[in-house]
Amino acid sequence: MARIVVAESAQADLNALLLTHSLPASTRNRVRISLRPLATFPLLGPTLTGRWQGFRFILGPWPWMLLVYVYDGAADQVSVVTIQDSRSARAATSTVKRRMRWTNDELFEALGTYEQACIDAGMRPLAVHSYWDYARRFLRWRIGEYRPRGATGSARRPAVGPVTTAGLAGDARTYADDVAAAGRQQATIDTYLRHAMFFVRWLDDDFDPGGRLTGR
Amino acid sequence: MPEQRSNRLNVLLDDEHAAKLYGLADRTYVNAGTLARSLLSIALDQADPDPATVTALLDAIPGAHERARQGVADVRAGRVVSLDEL
Repeated sequence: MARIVVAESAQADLNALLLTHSLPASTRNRVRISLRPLATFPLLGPTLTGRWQGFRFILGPWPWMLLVYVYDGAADQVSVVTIQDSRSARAATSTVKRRMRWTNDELFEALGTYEQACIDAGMRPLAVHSYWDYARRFLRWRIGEYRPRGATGSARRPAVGPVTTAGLAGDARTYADDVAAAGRQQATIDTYLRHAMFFVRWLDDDFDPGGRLTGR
Repeated sequence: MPEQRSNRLNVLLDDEHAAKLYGLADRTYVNAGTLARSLLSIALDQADPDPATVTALLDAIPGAHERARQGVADVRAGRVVSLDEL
């Protein structure tokens, strides 16, 4: 049986994820369970390539959690060297995504993925529903299917064509104005806008539900 | 010549996992063997993600490689915790 150890810096990586992602109390144990098979099968994790030559990885308790390790055959020791959130890999995709144009159908389909991202982040069911529901209301408002109770003035003309996330951000501000016109308190308006923008930023890979916000 | 491998495998579970399997099978009204095949397929898919994709992902995470190198340095310096201490 190989000995499994975790580098102190990898332990710090996990501690940071626990904090920023509000992961459940069972997380450490779940990580241990994910790692245990390596004691019997230290070569279980595929080898990485390029500058990662010599490193191996397995997935953690959630598919986004990458447990990177090295195996020293002579010492028969598996050493976990870092624990990373694969969804933090923004650089390669963000620019492309910001240029993308989303159809209404694609936006509503993305809602399902958004909900799953919330679940994967370990968010509580009520919070998951809340994130999903606020985003869904915004999308429904865009196509004229929803208006805040008490809204005044003419209804928004339904958005038809594909839209960039920049366009969606503009729509979110108009949405907030509509919520304000319905007589909601400022805190409520902020919540509607914030959640609409959470979804838009998530489309841009600029926001992790239940995790850290990145500046933009 | 490549070895001909059968798709039929005999798997022996320990008591704990056998109990789990039968518990799940009872709850879902599915034959334990069918359920085991399905769960094993899922586990195999999860156990063997594409390393090239994961390498690209790791490359795109700011600071990930530096963290891994720091981890290696920690291991060499004995700055490690056992799995139970995690």
